[in-house]
Amino acid sequence: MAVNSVNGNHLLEKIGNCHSRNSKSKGNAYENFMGNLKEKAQEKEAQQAIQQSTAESINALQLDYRSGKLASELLLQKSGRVEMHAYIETAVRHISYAESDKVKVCTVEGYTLKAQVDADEHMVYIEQKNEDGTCQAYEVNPLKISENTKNPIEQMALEAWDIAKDLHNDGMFTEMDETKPADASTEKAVTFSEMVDKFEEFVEKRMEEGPPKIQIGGSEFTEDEWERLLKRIDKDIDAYKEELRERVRRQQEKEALKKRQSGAIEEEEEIIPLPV
Amino acid sequence: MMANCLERYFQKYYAKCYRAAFALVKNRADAEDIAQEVLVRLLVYEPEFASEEHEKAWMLRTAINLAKDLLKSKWHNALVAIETVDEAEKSYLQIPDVETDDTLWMVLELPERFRNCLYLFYYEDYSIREIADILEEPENTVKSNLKRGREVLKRRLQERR
Repeated sequence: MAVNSVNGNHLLEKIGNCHSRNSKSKGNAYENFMGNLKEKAQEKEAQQAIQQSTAESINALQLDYRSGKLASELLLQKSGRVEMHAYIETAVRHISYAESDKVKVCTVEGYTLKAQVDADEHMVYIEQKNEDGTCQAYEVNPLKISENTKNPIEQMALEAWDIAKDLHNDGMFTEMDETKPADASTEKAVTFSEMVDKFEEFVEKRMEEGPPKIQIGGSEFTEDEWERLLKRIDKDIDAYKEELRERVRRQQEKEALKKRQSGAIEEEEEIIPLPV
Repeated sequence: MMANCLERYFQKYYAKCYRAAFALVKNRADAEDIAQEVLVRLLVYEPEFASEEHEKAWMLRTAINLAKDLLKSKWHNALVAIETVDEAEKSYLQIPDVETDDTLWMVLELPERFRNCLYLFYYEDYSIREIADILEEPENTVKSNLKRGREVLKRRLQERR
């Protein structure tokens, strides 16, 4: 018997067996098969979840390597046990009241809060001085804070940020100013389309009314009319000058003729001998 | 030499000495007298300061001691026997960079040992070590005065409400 035929028979036997089963056994096999598929899918999901959490923890560890406190905040947030704050703990700079943008004295609670706003970095530095002499400092991103926050540090950051906003550009500063470069293209596009519309209007008006006229004295002239007027005036002045020259020349000829005539008479008078 | 530096001392410490004195004597006229007296004593005694902290501590300690002396005097006791701050005098105490409210006036009405510590810590932003230097008391005493003073203040505020 050939090897191929053995395989073929084997397969046929398998198929035959399947066909030989009753419908009940068929249904069981289907349920088993689907159950296995579900189990595998669940296992896969579980594996993916583990991989994801591992990746997150790696990220957190990497962040931990850079800045310790941030990592712990992120991990707590991912685990869902504690909601993430908009601030992180940082090194204390020991700023004075004069250097602060806002100072809050909480005598009854036993601490003072000093806030220093860094508008460029979108960050508010908050320093907390406690009754026992200890100090803590936080860097807060005011744009991540909810307006209804009840956290005193977040409230302080929001208040300081509002004050800084009012002071900056005489109250014209908004958070949206930061996104202006991104909106600049649309702003340019709008301006360009507006300019095209204006140019179209200008062309239509120009075609209807002709070139723009400039008021000079009591009358209006277009540039061409003005040029023509000047040329005509120049021409008239030249003609007048030519006429003047002609007049002068005629006058000189006349005078010369007169002189010549009077000279001839005098000569005749000299030639005639006096009677003896 | 000290006379040449007087303007610098005046600019740097006059307001601080005035406020520290006001916290004790609670009226403008006496606080101004004390702040001026501090500068006079600086000219007369010409003390040598080891550091800026030492200088600041000397100025404020002198102001506080002068205020205490005034409060102890028979003349003052005969005239002013109340702990509360007069409404008319409240406008003469303006602390820069700090928003003042009723709590400040409650602090100024506390017993002296609590009042100085709380005022200097919360409203003048001095550290516990600096307050200990100014008041010539151990740091732990300042800490306990701060805690007890705050408790008294809290109780008084609750009673008032």
